[in-house]
Amino acid sequence: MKLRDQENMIVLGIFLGATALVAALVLAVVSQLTAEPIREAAERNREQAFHRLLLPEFDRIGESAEHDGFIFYTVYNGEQAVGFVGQGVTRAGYGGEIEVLVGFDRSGKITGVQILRHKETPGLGANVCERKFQRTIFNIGGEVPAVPENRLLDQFNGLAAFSAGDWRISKDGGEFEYLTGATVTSRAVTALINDIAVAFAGLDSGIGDGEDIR
Amino acid sequence: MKNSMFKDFSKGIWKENPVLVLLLGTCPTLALTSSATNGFGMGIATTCVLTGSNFVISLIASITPKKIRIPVYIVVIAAFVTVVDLLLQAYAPAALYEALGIFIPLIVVNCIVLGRAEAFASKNSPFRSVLDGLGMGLGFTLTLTMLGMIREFLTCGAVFEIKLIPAWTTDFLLPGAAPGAFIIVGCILAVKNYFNRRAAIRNHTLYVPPQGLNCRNCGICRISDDK
Repeated sequence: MKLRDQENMIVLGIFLGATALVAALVLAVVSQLTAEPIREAAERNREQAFHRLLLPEFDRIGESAEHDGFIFYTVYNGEQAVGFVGQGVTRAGYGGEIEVLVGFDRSGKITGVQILRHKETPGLGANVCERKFQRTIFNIGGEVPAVPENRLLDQFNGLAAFSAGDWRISKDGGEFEYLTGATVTSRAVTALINDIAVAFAGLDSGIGDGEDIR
Repeated sequence: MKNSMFKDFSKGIWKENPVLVLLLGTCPTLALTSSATNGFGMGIATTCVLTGSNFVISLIASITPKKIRIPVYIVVIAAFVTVVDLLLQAYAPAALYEALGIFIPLIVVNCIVLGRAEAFASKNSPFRSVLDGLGMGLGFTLTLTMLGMIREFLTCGAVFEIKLIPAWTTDFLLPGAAPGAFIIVGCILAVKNYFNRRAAIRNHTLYVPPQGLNCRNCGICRISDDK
């Protein structure tokens, strides 16, 4: 009997199993081969995000400390600690996790906010998370700014961490503008930035008098 | 022979365009065409998967037991999609992966890929199947890019992220959302049908969809074969 017309349950099971096994082997090989490049790409991505936080000039990302579920990094220029970066994750967005980086200078002011990764809807929630430079026909060959603007994220620039605690979007009675069609994402990101700032302000660190974060 | 090879390739672009004639793959068509770049990227990723899966499936079709062909095809397609996903993650620019990342796994359930496996690749030679995959993929990419351009322009006056009309309002959200996509796809279908009918009237015939797409002749689900 030809394999094509086979109806024996055991033969069918073995065939399907063999197909799955071959597929699994191929995937294992590809996954092995790409593991290193993927890790490197993620690392590059993170480093680039750090540089887009508008921190004072730094040349090294130093040690990290965990506090209230957030990770705080100290960044150095030479031996001098010049700023701090808080990293946190929220699941309150529309499509899975949103990972946020918040940069603080030594006086505890927010220097910039970047979204490290997100799975929000393109065109709606994603607008909260992306910094895309809007090219027009008039600046088609022009220079792209290093940190394209983002209406939601840029509102936090320059705010002091200790003033956090009640940062909300205007729809919830707060003072921060949110993006049309992206209320849920705006709310989630704002809450996360608020929590990171509160945690940062609560760090027993003597921020502002030049002391180290620990 | 040359002619029929070209036909295998070109039918996907207009005559049997997967989106506009077969009406397959509507989910990514609606979800992913909010901008021209997204539509183009999804089209290219689907083309890669479609070509690869068509090739492998046409190779194994003759030894695959009929009863379990669908699960076997799904395994092949899923493997290809995962490979494309990993490669994109490793080598594509971060911005592109960010835009497409969540939609790549959806290619597995894209009816175009399974539909072509069933309707074409399982009955034809590997070479012709690859041509079919490339043609269908190109048709899909062109349609998605066109739809993306229209939607992106209506939402923010831009095409491929270059703003053509700087003063265009950004508060018109309908074309960027799924309902707007439905309306625009409907309009495009109407235009396409108009051209088809006009051509038919010129030839003094009636427009009939390509044979094989008619439900009675179609082999895609082959329900009557299964007992």
